[in-house]
Amino acid sequence: MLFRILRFVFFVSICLFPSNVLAVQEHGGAEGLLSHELAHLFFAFSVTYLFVKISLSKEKKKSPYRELRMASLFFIIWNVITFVTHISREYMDKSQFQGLYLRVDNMASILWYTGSIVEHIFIVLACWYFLKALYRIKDVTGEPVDLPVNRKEL
Amino acid sequence: MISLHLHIFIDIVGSLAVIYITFQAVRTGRSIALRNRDIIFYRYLYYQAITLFVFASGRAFGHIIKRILLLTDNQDIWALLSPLSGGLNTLTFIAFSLIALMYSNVQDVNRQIDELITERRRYKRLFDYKTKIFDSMYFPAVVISEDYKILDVNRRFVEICKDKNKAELIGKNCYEVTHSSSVPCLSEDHPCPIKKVINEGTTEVVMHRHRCPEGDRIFELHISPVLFGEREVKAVIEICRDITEILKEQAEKERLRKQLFQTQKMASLQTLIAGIAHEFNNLLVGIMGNAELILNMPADAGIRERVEKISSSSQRAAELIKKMLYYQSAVHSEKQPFNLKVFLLDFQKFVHSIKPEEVDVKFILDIEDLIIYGDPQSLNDAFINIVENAFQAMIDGGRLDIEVRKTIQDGKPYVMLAFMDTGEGIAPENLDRVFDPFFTTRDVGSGTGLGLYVAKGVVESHDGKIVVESTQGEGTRFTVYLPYKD
Ligand SMILES: Nc1ncnc2c1ncn2[C@@H]1O[C@H](COP(=O)(O)OP(=O)(O)OP(=O)(O)O)[C@@H](O)[C@H]1O
Ligand SMILES: [Mg+2]
Repeated sequence: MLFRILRFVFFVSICLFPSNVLAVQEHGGAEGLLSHELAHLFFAFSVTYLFVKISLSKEKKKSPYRELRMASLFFIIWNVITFVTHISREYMDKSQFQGLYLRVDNMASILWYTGSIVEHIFIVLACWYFLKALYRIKDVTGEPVDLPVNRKEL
Repeated sequence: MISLHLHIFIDIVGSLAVIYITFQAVRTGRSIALRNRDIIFYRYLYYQAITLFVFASGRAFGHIIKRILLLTDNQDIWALLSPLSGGLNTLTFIAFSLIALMYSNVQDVNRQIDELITERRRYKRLFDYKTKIFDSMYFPAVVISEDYKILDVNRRFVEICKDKNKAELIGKNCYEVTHSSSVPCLSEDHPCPIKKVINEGTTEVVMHRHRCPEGDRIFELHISPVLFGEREVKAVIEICRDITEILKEQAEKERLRKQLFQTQKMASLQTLIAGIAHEFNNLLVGIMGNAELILNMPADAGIRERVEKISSSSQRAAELIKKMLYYQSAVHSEKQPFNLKVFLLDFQKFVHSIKPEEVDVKFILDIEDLIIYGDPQSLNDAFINIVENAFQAMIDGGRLDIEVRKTIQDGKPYVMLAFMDTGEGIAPENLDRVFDPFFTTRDVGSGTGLGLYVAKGVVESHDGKIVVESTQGEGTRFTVYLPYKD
């Protein structure tokens, strides 16, 4: 119960007090990078929690938990990468972007460049496993029993 | 300096891929959730799929629109849109995370699902089992609702409706399927007991003629009430027993029984007649002899007159007895091979010689030389009896056609002799009595009722048969079939 209340307070506070400290960035301005980064952390936390829960349960090798576990693993990795990518963007200078070219002269720009490419791989994998989990469920549950007289008529 | 081309390309491809995958996830999640409304876990997964899809769309919007806006030097517009796209992103993260936390207690979720799925499997097995029983029934069965809709049919029922399958039958009106009618069966001879069964809860048995693809069949329907569920939508189950063959068999049996009875009756009657005739003949000889003796003696005129009457009456009686006895001799006469054509030409002459003025007689002899094994004399008598009757039926004139040709009956060769007159005809109620001995419609003393009886006896003693058809007021047709050797 306490956990639920905390969860709620956390959620509301993020929505109500977006930071505008770090302006002009993707998650800056009216939105605020901080709230977004916190959301990433929350996301990372919840999927980690799910990952651990599944790993601890004896269902971890069974579909759809196996697929969900993989999905949460990739969601975790994706969260970490995007988290880092967002921060490294902060340490980059506007002048580093010149049209379709990037001046790579500091650590931040290297991180940002690789991070924002690799990120895609993990989010695709995560969503792909999530979809697979749904497919597995569809396979097991199959069609509902076909009554000759449909339920409505009864 | 490094080019951002690859970066942009991956951005676009990656964003689109995620949109596609999450869109599929929404579709799949939706179908799972709708089919398994009782499993909350699946609904959670469906909601998560939605949040992922919204996230993917928002992100793609962010990534792609951003590129376009920045490249087209519209930084200010992007600055406006960016927080919207990012904010949406943030919200979907939170939604997804919250839902993940809700179902993260995998053990509980799984137990719930396992229970439901096991229960469903058990139900399915039970359902299959019951369906199999229903389908294995020897008799066709159909479940019909209160408003005459077919709810279920078993395999046998589908088999008798060869032109339709089960899916086509269910939902149809029963009267459409079994009676090709557009209204429920209301007529007196085809009453529909469904309402009665539902109202009174009794089982009714009725006979219905059902329309089947290969022709009408008669069914004995056993209709019993069925209660569905607690909401008590009422229906009946109708078990259909095809009794078409049974009815046919019964009719055939009845016919054979009647026939047997008839022959037995005839046989005993014949012995009786023969016995009585002989006895009476002896008695008559006594009466007539004594009458003769009295007439030879001198006696007074009054007595003479009486004795003459006795003598003439006895003579008439003797003739009748002769006719009765004739039957025996005609039926048991010696048989020999003879040429039918020659016989018929003689017969033709004879008929012409006895025919009344006002009757036309026409012969059609469509046969070549043909050998029959029999007794020409008794056959002649038999045919004359038939011809005489025809003449008697045409007092006011008419026409008698006698046609002779070869036919096949039950695969065997027969000569058919048809006697067709345009006389008064025979009343339907007399039609099967005309061959009975002593059956006559003529005045007492003028007809013995033995003519057709003799004819039938003679024809049957030749292994032939004789049938009569008649329409009152129009005419009569006697048809004789005699077997011959090829
Ligand atoms: N061609 C016919 N048209 C109409 N009625 C007929 C014909 N043939 C027979 N019948 C009917 O059948 C009855 C029986 O005929 P059947 O020849 O056995 O006896 P009958 O003619 O009455 O007597 P008998 O032959 O001894 O003179 C007849 O009384 C007559 O009513
Ligand atoms: Mg007669």
